[in-house]
Amino acid sequence: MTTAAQGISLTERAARQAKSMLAKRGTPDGAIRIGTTTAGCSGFSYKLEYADQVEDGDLVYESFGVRVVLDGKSALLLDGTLVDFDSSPFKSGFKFSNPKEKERCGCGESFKV
Amino acid sequence: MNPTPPRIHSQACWSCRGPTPAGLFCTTCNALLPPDMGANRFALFGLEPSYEPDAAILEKNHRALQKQLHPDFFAQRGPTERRLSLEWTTRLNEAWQTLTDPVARAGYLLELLGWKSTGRPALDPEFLEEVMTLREALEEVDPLAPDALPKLATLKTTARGRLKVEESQIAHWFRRAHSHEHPPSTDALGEIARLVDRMRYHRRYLEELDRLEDRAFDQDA
Amino acid sequence: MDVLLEIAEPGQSLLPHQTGPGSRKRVVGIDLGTTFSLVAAISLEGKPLCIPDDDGVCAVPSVVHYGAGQTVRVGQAAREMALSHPESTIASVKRYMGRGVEDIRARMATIPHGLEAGEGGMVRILAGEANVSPVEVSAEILKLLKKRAEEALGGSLQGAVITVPAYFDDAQRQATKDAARVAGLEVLRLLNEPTAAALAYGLDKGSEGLYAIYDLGGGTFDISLLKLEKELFQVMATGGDSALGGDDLDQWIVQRIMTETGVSDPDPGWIQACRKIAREVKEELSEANAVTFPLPGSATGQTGHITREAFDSGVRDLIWRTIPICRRVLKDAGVAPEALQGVVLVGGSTRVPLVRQMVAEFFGREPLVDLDPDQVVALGAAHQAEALAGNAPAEMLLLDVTPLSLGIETMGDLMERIVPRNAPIPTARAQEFTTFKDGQTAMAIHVVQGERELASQCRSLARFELRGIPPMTAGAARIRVTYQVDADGLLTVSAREETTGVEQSITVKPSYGLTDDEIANMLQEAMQHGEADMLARLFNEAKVEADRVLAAAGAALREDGDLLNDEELKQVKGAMLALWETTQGQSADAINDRIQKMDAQTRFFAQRRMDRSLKQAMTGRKVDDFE
Repeated sequence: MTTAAQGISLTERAARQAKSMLAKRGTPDGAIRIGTTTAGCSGFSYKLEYADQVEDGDLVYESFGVRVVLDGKSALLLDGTLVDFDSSPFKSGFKFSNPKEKERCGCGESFKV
Repeated sequence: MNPTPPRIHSQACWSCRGPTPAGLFCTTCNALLPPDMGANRFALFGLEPSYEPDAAILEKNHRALQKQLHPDFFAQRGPTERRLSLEWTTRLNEAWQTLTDPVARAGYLLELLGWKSTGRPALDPEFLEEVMTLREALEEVDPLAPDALPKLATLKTTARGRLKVEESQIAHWFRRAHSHEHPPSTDALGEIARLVDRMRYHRRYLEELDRLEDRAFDQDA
Repeated sequence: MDVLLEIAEPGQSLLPHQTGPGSRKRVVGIDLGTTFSLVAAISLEGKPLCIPDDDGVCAVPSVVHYGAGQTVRVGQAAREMALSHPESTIASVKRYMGRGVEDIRARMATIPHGLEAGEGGMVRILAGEANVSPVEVSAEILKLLKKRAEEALGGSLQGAVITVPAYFDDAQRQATKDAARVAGLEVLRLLNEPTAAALAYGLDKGSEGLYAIYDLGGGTFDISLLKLEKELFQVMATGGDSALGGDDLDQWIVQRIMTETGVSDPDPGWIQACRKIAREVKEELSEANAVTFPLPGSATGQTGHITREAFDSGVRDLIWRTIPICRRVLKDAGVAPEALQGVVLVGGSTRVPLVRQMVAEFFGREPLVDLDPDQVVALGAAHQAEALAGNAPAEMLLLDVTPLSLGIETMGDLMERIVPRNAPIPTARAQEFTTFKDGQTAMAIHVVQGERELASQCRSLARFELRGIPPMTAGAARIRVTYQVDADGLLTVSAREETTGVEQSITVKPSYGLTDDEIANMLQEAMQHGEADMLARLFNEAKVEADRVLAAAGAALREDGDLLNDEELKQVKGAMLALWETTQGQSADAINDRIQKMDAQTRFFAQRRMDRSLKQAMTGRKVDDFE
């Protein structure tokens, strides 16, 4: 299972949600971008955006018909990450399961590797 | 160009530091401004001082002001605006209570008209006699007796009746003072002050009846 | 904790703890009850919902167990320890809030743990190895609710509305607010329980008119009379008894079992077991006409028997105590029972048939029971939290009142009323006093709350002394004492000698409350993530202020920007940009620093704006027009 070029994948639920959000935005054939920023109490936090263009060094994957663009510089941190969509009465959104993540800050908004 | 309200030069807005007219919010930056501590309680609701203010306007403006100024609407604002909202609504509630209470309203109008109480007024014999009669009636009621509640109810009706009469007399004197005399004569004001004292007495009397009634009711269990 | 992300527009991702313009604040309503506590929030669909645990249970028993090695169990886990470890398990701590030892002993017959007087007269509870204040115990319950809410909402809470019985006095309110602070919760508002219930009820049913909310909980009774209109909920009068509730009904059953079994000096384990049985018997009697139950501590399987009739006649006097209070509230508001649109029942104890019957008889109508009486308070609080956080447009105006008169002790132990009960809040009242001795330089001020005529029979809230009054003849000094009650119903008292301006001001709490230092200590002991929460809060406060400064400067530029040449405009905009940049960072200090710098850098602009307005006024009008 654990290979170096595992990349990023979406669950079917996440892909369905992403597709419908892309459609609502008027870019049904668009892609989403996943990356990290260096901030927060524990070092890194995840970033999830619409991707209007693909830059040099970006890696592109596809899951259930949705294109996922990965920041080249975040690739090491995020390799093997599975993105799911979760919804409950009080919250909904995309959830990152990252095998490289070691520790979360108390508020859950940033992580350590 | 629309006419802009005159900007008062003497007071700067605490938030944008620029000129702003007196009012609720700064015309430039929309910050809540401090209340004018000198303004009278009628003016706060856009009313002229009067013993018979328009209840509908009072109610409407009170509500409109609360909807703009209540602390609940400033919970997400900075400390200055939160404090100002507290000051505003405190004044608003104070003014509202003064204006909706016939005794407090009369007292406040007398104050606005510059009336200075000359100490305890001499009790007139007629009122003294009424006080004695009321006292006696009160002392005759045994709150533990089975007929206490109806007896107390009768006394309450009497006292409430007195209050109504006194209120309309005060209204009469204020109307007269406003239409005939500029400024109102000391005699008229003295008469009003005398009636206000009587109302206060009848109120305290009603409170005593209430206490007896509470005791009588507790016994009823 | 899992954080859920939305897909952002390119380059618009938010930093941790940052909130975007359209994002909702994570806020909750908390019903901190005597027997149960609940937390509720507004769902994604815009409905208030109680937040359940993993098993789907919303109500958290208000029970805290202090085990060996400082382990603390809360809720159901603590309740399970109550039978085996009664002396180290604390239930119904709400009854101890803001109270002294004597007060509690006089009120409660059987207490399974030790009590002692803490500093300032506040009670401390000896629970096993722990020696804790009611504030700390309540904070444990709040911490559990906070954690549950943060998991459900997906991030740290940004505020909470906490409900208190309308009839709570100042000491009890202050203690509740302190407990929230110890738990690391930012209190958006203390909301009166019947008002919260009315809010949930009125919004749900679209009701208008006069409503009485009869709220009989585990340990407190409240009655509030409200005028409900489309955009206005106005409390007309309120009353209650903050030491009367379902616990007292249980207590009657406990006493009866004690008499029947001949137990006169029960041990803590027996008391807890008996209470548990009593609660169950009471609940069963709401349905059944008679209940047979196992006697506590009986190895031979002996049983007891209670009929509904016996229970009703036993607790009739207790429930009757609520009726004169209802009557007084109607009288205070000048309303006849016939003028009411409805009577709404709130609180678990209103399930007792006799309660419903007596309420129906007094008000001359069947009470309304179509909302869950256990949840409605928390749901209303969640509504109010949402509005206060600015998540929902603030349409509803909630006007509340003081439950009890506030006064001052005067000569001869008399209570002089300064703020009457049922005064709309916020409110401020002042009274003038004078010295009664020649050369008197200090004046003792004793703040009391209650309806009794003697100060010693009212609740003592605080004592302080105004010093430094210049020696004058008796009666010459003019000491103005001001009572300010804020929108939480909390009191601040200040005193000032008018002829010289000597002033002293206190927030009323020393009698039973905690000092700020004590709270800071508890916070450090109690919180693991406290620091991050605290920093986030300081940052948010600074950012709110910075946003205001930037908006004000922007408005000033639009209005009077023509007063600046290009160079100056660049300077002002540069100062604004520098401040804006700090708001994109993480440091509150950096923001506050920049606000001060910007103030200095733009002072010339403010001056010029004032000068122009002065000139316009001079040319436009005669001089004596604007004195």
